Amino acid sequence: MGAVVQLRKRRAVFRRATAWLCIAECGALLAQQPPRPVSPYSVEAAFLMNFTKFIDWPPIAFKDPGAFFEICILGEDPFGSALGQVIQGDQAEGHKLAVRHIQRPPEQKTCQILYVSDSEKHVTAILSDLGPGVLTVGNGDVFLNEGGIIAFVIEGRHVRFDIDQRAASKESLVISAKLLSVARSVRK
Amino acid sequence: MNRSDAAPVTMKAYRNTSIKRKLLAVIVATTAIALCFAGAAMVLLDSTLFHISMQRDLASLASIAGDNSTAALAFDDPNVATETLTSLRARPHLVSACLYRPDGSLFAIYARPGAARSCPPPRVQQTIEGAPGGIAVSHPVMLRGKRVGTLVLLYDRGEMWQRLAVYAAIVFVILLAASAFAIAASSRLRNAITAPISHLSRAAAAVSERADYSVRVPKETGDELGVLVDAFNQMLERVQMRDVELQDARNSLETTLTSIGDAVVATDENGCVSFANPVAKSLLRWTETDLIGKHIDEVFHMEREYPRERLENPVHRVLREGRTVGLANRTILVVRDGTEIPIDDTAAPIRQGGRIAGAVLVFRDITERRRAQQDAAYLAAIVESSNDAIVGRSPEGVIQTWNAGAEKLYGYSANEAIGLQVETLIPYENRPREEEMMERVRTGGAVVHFESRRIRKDAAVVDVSLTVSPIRDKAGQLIGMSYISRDITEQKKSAESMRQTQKLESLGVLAGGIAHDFNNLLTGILGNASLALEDTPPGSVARQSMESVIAAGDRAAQLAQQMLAYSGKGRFVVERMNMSAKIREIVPLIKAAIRPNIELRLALADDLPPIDADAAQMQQLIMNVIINGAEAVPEGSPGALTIATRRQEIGSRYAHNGSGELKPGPHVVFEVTDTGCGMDEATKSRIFDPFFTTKFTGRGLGLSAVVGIVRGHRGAVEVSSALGKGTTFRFLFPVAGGNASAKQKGAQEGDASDLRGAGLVLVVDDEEIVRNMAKRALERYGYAVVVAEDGAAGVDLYCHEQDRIRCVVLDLTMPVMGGEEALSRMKAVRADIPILLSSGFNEAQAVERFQGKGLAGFLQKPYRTSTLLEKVKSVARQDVKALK
Repeated sequence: MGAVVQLRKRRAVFRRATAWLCIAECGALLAQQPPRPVSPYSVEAAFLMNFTKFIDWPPIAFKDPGAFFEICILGEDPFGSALGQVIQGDQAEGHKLAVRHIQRPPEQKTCQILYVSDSEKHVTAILSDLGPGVLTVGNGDVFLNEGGIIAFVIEGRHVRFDIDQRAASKESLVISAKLLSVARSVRK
Repeated sequence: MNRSDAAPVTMKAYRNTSIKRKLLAVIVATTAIALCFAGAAMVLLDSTLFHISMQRDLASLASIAGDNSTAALAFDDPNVATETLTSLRARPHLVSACLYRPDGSLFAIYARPGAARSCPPPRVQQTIEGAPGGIAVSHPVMLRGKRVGTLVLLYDRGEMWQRLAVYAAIVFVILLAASAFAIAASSRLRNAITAPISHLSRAAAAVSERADYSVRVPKETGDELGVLVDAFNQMLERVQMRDVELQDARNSLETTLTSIGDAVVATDENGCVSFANPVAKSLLRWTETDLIGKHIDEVFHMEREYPRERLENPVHRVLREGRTVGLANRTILVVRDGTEIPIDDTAAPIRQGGRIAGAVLVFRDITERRRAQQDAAYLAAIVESSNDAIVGRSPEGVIQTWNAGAEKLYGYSANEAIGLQVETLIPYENRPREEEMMERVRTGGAVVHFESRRIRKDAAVVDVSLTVSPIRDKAGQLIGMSYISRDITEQKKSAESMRQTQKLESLGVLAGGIAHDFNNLLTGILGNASLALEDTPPGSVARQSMESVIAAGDRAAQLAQQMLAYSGKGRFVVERMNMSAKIREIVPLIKAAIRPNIELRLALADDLPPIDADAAQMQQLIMNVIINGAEAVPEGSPGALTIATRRQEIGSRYAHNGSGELKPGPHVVFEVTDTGCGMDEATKSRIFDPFFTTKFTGRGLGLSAVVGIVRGHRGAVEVSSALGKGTTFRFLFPVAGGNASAKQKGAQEGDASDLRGAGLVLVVDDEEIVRNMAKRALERYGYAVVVAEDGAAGVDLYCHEQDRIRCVVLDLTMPVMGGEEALSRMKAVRADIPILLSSGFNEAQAVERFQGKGLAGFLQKPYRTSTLLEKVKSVARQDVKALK
């Protein structure tokens, strides 16, 4: 009888834990990875957030130590509220994360990640004078050719990305090998 | 054998194994056990450390794999994750690796070829736990503090087992090697330990098997075994010494037991004989070979002598009670051949370490001792029961033994006498002679008999006859003397009395003989004088002479009568008489003969009983004594004479110290006491002797006659006298009995004119003068007379003339044939002829002697013719009437 009660107790704990995990993990995944058919942008929003965990920014990338780590979206925001949900309350490199929508290329040391929406033209120009320590992320295979560092690509039903390590180095960014290992391709 | 016995048997077998093997086994076992423990500890430690290490390794492996998978998880790339996991195949013991998403769904998996594609479920925390098929490691994969997934690794235990197997093999090999080394080393080292032990063991075996205490163990080391060897050798030395001492003691004991006179039998605790000395074997009639081992009951059979019954063997009691037991008195040992031996002995327990290990029985044959005791008791009884005083004295003269006879004789009890000097008993005046006698005994060694005197406790002196014998020990050394003494006071007195009596009797016989012959002569003289006087005419001168002859003859007859009275054979006419009356009658007659200055006192009893006595003799006695007493008073000095009579009862114990014999009964005492000069002892002892006199004019026959008279009356006379104080004569006569002897009056004086008779008279007398006188007298008065000179001739005549003889006058004392025999023969021929007996001895005796023999009468010599004629006529007249 006692054993049964014990078993039931354990099961209850397990269920609560599972539920908590579902809520927490699933919530997190939902924030980063929308349910299917999940919008690729929600995945990309999660990827943007995860890039901060595998890339080291140089201190010069920030105006001051108390500055936000800003993810700037240049152009049309394809993420909706997804990105905001993903970064909420999170930090990167010791700085609080924040999302900023910009329409023009940012000033130096104001954005640490610059997502260049598909709506922008003259991407190359935009990317040419950003200053050090800005990770530039865009879509499509050509984005790297335009001087971008990471470019999202849709492969099959999965969002993948390519990395231009040289561009990153130019921006004084150190990309973790782990990130490199999951990239579809890496330009060196 | 059952299972439970198996272990003990093994243990027993182990116990019996040699020390060498044991040592080897111990070394090897110890080494093995130590190594096993060490190996096990090492394996345990190593497996624990290995387990920890493996856990760390797995944790780090999971951590690395998880870290390498973070990007794949973060960017949702299962392929990369799978690749990452696949890189783990380098670890052959990894069964499977699974990467789970945070929601628990499987993200990527790697499975070892051939293994199932499954993993244990993920854990929230990092855990390492056992799982089916191995160890499961659940590792959360974190990215910037956020859990991005969980890596679960399943690792089999093959590596651990392999490692354990390798370790076990190593330990085993080491164990084998170490054991081999231990055996090798111990086989070399154990000799250092076991060699001295082996020496000890061999020495101990030699000691125990051969009792050889001379062996010694060589000392090879200076360690504890060396000390043990030294101690063992010392112990052996002491044991050897003790063994020698023990053997000596045993030999000594055995020699003692063998040589002592007592029989000794020892038994074990079961009562079986373990030792018997030669005396015991000899007494029990067993030889050693068959006695040892026998049960004591078989060889020692005891019985009580009185009452006869079997006794419990003392060995049983000793074994049962554990104390020394003395045999009962009067115990008989019945030995093998049935011989019964009186024994005396004890039995005692033999103890060993507080336990009774057996009994020892000591006994001895007491046959000789008992015989000696019996003899001694017999001798002691003889000594004790002897009426003689038997006294033992030491050479120094101290009294050592004192028997009942001595108590009686001397008045001292044994307690009083023992320890006294023997001289205490000896009067001073006897001591020199006694000393002389003792010296004779001491030097000569012979038994000495002599007479002496002794002082009683009450100071009275007694005469004793002594036999003194030396008492010597076996070496001949004088160790004492024995006195056997007998009280001879009475004997001496009696002998003196006897001597006196014999003297009196012999004198009496002499006097009687003289008187007899004298009477015969006087009979002739008086008879013939009477006849002559008859023949002489009246007025003749011759007649006066004849009368003078007759008067002188009468006086001579009186003298003869005195002599006969002394001899107790005088004329004796017994009549009943009152002594007091007689004295009163006589005293006036003799007063004239007593000097006037002598006072005569009479103390006469009035109620005095009568006595049987001859009045004439008694008168003679009274007169003699009174006159004798009166004469004892010295002339010219006043004196007193007391005459007393009384009745006195004489008991059987009356101490009579005078002449004559007294029979118990009432007596009349006649006592005359004077205040005269008295007598000394010498005079006193002779006063009754005939012809002894202290008076100038005395004939010495007065008191002699008195003694004769007293004896004739069965009386006694006692004289007590003290010199200068006076003398007392005391006469005792028996009181007359109821049937007093018949009074025999003397012959009646008859009428001479009527004396004639007729017929033949036989006169038998050896004296011719008597024969002739009687013949002439009888013939003168008409009788015819035949005479015979002795009894034989008288009997012949009697036979021839029996028809004619009217009377016989027979003399009593004659040669050839006496009157007594002649009387018997005559009476045998013809009893109706009266026979007159004629004798100078007194009539009373004759009458008594011839009573019932048909005597017709008695004719007392000397007789006158008239008396003869009267008697003859009286019996002739009575014809043949016998005297009763």
